[in-house]
Amino acid sequence: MIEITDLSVEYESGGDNEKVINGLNLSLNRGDSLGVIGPNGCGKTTLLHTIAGLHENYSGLIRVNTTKDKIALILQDIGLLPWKTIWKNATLGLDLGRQGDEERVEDLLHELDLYSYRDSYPAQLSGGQKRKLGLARALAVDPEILLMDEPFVSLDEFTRESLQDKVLKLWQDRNLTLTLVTHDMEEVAFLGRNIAVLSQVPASVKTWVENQKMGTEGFRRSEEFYRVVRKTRQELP
Amino acid sequence: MKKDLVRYAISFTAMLLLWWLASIAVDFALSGPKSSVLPNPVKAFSALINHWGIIWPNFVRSAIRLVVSLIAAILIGATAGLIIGFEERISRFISPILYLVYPVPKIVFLPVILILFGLGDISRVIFIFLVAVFQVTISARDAAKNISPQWIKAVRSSGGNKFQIYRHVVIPATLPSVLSSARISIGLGIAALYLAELSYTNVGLGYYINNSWKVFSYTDVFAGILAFATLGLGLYLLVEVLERVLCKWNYLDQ
Repeated sequence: MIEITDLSVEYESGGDNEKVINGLNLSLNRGDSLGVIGPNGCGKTTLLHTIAGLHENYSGLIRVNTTKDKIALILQDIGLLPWKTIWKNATLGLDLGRQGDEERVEDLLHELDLYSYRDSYPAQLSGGQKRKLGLARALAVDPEILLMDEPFVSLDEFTRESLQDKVLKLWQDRNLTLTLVTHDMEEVAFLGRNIAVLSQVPASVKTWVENQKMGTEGFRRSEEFYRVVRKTRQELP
Repeated sequence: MKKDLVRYAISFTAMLLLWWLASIAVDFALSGPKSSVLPNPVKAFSALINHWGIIWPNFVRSAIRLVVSLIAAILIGATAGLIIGFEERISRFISPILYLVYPVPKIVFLPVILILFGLGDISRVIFIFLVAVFQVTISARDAAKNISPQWIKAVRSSGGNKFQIYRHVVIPATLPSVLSSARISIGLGIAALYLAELSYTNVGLGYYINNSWKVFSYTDVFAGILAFATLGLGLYLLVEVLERVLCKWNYLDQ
């Protein structure tokens, strides 16, 4: 569960304080998924980083019904460490003292077709493989809450859809609470059961789009999917 | 690697050829004892081999002075540079001091060092350390300043604390720059070593060369220079090997 009440975040910029998020409220049940979409620079990433505990200067209330150890964040540019092998990147959370076991990471790397690259370095992977590695690193610590910041940006359509399918399956199989931030209307409709459309900066939730059929068989090609995409587009500021 | 060896061999041969031509030109242009001021490579290498028994103790003493100074300069300089570069508050206080001291030629401190620490090896080690340490500190500081915030966020969001950020990000990310500055420090260190061995000592390659100048034994001067070059080459190769082992990820295309 994630419950955010009256969240405001400010950044110091050139000596002034700039408000990025203003009075944002949202809640998400355990095992549910939330897609967050909004205009460029409206504070989507800040919202995710604040939930992940990377920002401490905020006002309002953030409640999560799990420990910090069980929250995993996939960064927008993944943040793979170039000097670590694929295996060491995937097990970073374990090396840092989070709970998890190496067998599980091996399974994940097999599932994401990365196992044969375990001794390679990130520079030797394709864009799609790097995204998969980001996913493996996040899931290696067996999280209850998975936060994803533009997880499939700058990938070709085919790879993006294939990775979205993988995330959907992982979400369904592992009872994850998923929060996804994206610019992509089709992505947010495919992976967000609840869709929050944010206002211009300073961000607050402008409107919610219902998407209860998300995750059902053949949803991506259904009329309902396109209805949600159209509705999201209409609501964007 | 094989290509590297071929390139080194070509460069070495070209250098010897130029040296030889220069020695012929000097021999031709000058007369009397001055004509032998630049001996040809064969004479210099012969002197190095024939006098190796005398050169060796000087070589060892110089190597110890240089290696101890450089290790201290790299360890202390890198640690200081990483902290200054990564900790904004510390940087604000220390950077102005660095800018002030870095450009001062360290040779001006040599008399002070000799008075404070005596005429033994410690003074020479401190002097070489002072020459090399600022180079390493500034390189490490600049590298630490340019660390991608995404790497830090990756470790922090995975539960990493400050110590773990240093261990998993700051140190490995800056290692190539530190090793690169170590390479520059070898050159600076050898120059400083020569200066430090010119006086108040009767052992070391600097002393050996200077003494040979005094008795007009030019082939021995160049034998000493070749010994210096060998010492420098050995250290360069050591750093090169270290870099290939510790920064494997930087050599993926090779």
